[in-house]
Amino acid sequence: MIEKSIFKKALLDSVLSKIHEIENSDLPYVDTDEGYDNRIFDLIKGRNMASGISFRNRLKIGIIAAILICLTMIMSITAIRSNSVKLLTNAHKEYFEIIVTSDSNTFPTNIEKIYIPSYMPESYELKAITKRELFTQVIWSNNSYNIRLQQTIVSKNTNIHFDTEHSKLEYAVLGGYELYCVNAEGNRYVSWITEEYSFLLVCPSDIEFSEIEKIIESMESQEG
Amino acid sequence: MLSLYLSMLDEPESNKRLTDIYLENKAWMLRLANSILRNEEQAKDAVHNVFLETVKLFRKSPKKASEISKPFLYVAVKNSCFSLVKDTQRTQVISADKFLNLGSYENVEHIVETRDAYKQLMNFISSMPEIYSDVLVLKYIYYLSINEIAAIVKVSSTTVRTRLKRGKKIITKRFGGIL
Repeated sequence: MIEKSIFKKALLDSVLSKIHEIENSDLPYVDTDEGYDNRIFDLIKGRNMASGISFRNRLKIGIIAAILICLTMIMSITAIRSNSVKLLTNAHKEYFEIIVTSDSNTFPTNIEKIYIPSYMPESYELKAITKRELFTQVIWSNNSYNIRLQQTIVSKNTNIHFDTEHSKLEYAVLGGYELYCVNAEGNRYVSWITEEYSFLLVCPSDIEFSEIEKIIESMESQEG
Repeated sequence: MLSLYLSMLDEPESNKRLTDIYLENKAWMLRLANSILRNEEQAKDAVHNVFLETVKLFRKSPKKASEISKPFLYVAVKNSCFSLVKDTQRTQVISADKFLNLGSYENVEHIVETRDAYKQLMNFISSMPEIYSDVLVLKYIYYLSINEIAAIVKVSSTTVRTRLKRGKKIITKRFGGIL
């Protein structure tokens, strides 16, 4: 007889392994235009367009929560700067929370500058770029694994949770930027927030952190 | 019809959750759909239909819907594709195994022996026909009702019950049942 909890976990893991195969396969990507994405967003949001887009993933068995890295050039994580983004952090028992707030309403309403790294680890080639009004996604691939960079606008009261119940949240400082990292399911999730955008870099866990540093440091802006 | 669904999601939390789900998963969902349908436009329709059903689930059972994750989307996309195929080819139902090479069915007696019992269980589940494992996933992981499962896999409630029964029978035959 199998215990129900074990059976459930095996069910989950068997499907997740199939999804992992898809994500790392050479199946062609399907590009979507802005109209398609807007159809989905209209379907999801209905009349309420006020809420911003934030990365908030819940970690369940076999599923990793996305990590957001708070990145400011001048201030520390709890410092306050007038007329700029204020980041408040709270450490709870099961999750770590970052709340974006500001005294002024200076957040962008669309992606004005796209940040793309000029450096990638050897063998990774640019695979796909998705540009939308509120987010961009760039994917590199070496035919076995993908590296993905997502950029979205932040807005007042953007709220990000890191599920720390099932994985260890690591903190690092890189060139004055504060990074929060999580390793899970063979991937490393690295995220940070600037005054205008939030970034999420997802790459295989076996990529050295020194390589990730080079990727982040090589980010260059392009007009959106 | 869309306007009906537009009024459904009034909760900002639900909006954020679903938007995040879309942004995080749309790439592999579209690739999966395209691999089944071999048509990008139909693949987009299939993924769109998945979110239509997901919005309905959010309206009906917000607590269950808040647990939606990758396995749910995987099952939903696959069955959305098969439903599209059935609609266009009414005289022929395409078998799940024919499209996907990701988990082919093996006879119970031919399961590879492994020392790790859990790995053996996982391999066995992966080798089951996906018509059975799909409903087991939606039932045991997401606690959906028979009718809710029927809406996702696009079959009748009776068929869902039959598939659940047969899926559990396969597990019981091999492992003696589920506690």
